[in-house]
Amino acid sequence: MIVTWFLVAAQAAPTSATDSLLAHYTSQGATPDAARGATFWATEHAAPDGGAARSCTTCHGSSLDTAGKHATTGEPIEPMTAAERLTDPAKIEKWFGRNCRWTLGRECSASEKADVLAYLVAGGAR
Amino acid sequence: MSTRTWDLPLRLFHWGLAASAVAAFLTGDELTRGRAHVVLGTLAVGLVAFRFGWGVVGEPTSRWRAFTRVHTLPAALSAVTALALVLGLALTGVLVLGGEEGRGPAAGLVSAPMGIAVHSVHRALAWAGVAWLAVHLAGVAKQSWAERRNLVRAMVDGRKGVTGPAVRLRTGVAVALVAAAPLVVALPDRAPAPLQRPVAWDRECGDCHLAFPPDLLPARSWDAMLASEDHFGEFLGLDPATADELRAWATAHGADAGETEHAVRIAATVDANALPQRITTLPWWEGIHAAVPLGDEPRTRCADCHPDAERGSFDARAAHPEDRRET
Ligand code: HEC
Ligand code: HEC
Ligand code: HEC
Repeated sequence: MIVTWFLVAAQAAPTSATDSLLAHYTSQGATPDAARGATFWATEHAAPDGGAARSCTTCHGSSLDTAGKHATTGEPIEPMTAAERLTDPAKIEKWFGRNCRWTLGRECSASEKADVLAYLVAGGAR
Repeated sequence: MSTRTWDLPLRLFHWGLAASAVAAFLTGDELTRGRAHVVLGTLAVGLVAFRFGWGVVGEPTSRWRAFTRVHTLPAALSAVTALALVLGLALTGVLVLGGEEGRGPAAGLVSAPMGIAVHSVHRALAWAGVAWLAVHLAGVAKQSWAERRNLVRAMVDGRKGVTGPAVRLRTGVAVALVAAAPLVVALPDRAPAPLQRPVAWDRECGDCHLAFPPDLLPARSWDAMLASEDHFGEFLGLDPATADELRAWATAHGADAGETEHAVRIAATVDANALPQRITTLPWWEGIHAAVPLGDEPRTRCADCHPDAERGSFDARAAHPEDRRET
């Protein structure tokens, strides 16, 4: 009983961060769809500098379960399914803001963010 | 004159000082300076401290009271000069260590520009020591010739003319222990105090690369960088309050504030009208790394080679060996 309670409680915290963000995107007309998010995650976009095409996987790697590496700086990036991921709505929004601009050259729409988030939540152990 | 003997503690002092001073000189250059140099220098100070103590409680011929009676005037002056040189080197050495590296007893008490200035004095004293040694060796050779005795040999076996009284080894050991005391202070190598920084610096600047210490660029560079929308093709999107906090802190501790040795050197080599945005293209940076095999990894990955980069410390000896990256 107690063990089950702990597991539920441990999962409740991250879920609430993504839940509240998803609810926020939904209120802006989004209909979160993990499959669409998966496609978005891997879709390549032309680079403004004419270099290699860019996608979310350029830095985060081809699998959500493995570590990535920043394309320019070589800085290691924890797997997207790591325990401390997606626990802070402000942090998630901040990185959407940074990474969408770098990858797509523009901000992501609420529905794009909702789809990706649904994909990341589904891809994770949670 | 020829009835003098050199007692065992005095001979040990002589050769110990000779060895530690020469070894300290050889380990003193920029590349290899570090623990060995500091420990050898401290050992030399300890030996000099021993000599002062031995001059009070030692063998009659080693006492200060007998100093001018036992030595000719030039020899006495020469010996005092050597002791003074060692103490001068130790004092300036401590100031350099504290000012330039933020280590040792003077850490935090001496500014970086002061440490750099004292470094030239330290270097001059070291060369004065080399000159002193040349004169000393010439004097020993001349005196050996004049007395028809091998004085180097005498400094080894202690006999120069008549054998003296038995050596009070126990007293010598006691004095030597006292003399070694400074080593206890010098041996533990305390790491430099970590750079105090706002949490926002790590949070906002430490995910894509090292949260670079602000003393690597002039204040005006940080001002421009933190006001810019475009960060090397990335968008940082700092909220205005955070941007202000980071800008205030970084500009207060920029290279021009001269808080570290490299800050002083960077500020001195950046053109007054230049607004550098990269550390790795500063003439200073390229000069220092000219001989370093940088490999294919980005040059901005300071911490690959400088294990204390996070703390704002880029000690050259910590960066060696060059193949650190492979490990
Ligand atoms: C240029 C490299 C790069 C690209 C491309 C990139 N990211 Fe990121 N991303 C990062 C870095 C660096 C972090 C922060 C690393 C950390 O938290 O360990 C991050 C973090 C995130 C986070 C925050 C996760 C958390 O812990 O809350 C999300 C969400 C994210 N990225 C989504 C995306 C999406 C969506 C794309 C594609 C549109 C993308 N990223 C493309 C480098 C990149
Ligand atoms: C979203 C990722 C990201 C974040 C966050 C970030 N940077 Fe950068 N930074 C980069 C990239 C990419 C470069 C260019 C690296 C290259 O070309 O090798 C860079 C380069 C730099 C350089 C120049 C390094 C050199 O010598 O070439 C400095 C200085 C710098 N960043 C400071 C900061 C500061 C200060 C912050 C926090 C306010 C910050 N960065 C946050 C991505 C980031
Ligand atoms: C590939 C390894 C490597 C990288 C990457 C690297 N360095 Fe170095 N660095 C060295 C080596 C090796 C030395 C010692 C050079 C020498 O002995 O002349 C050194 C010397 C220095 C020194 C002088 C230290 C002293 O005690 O005099 C500073 C300061 C420094 N590096 C800063 C940096 C900064 C800042 C970065 C990142 C922007 C960086 N380094 C990146 C290898 C590296």
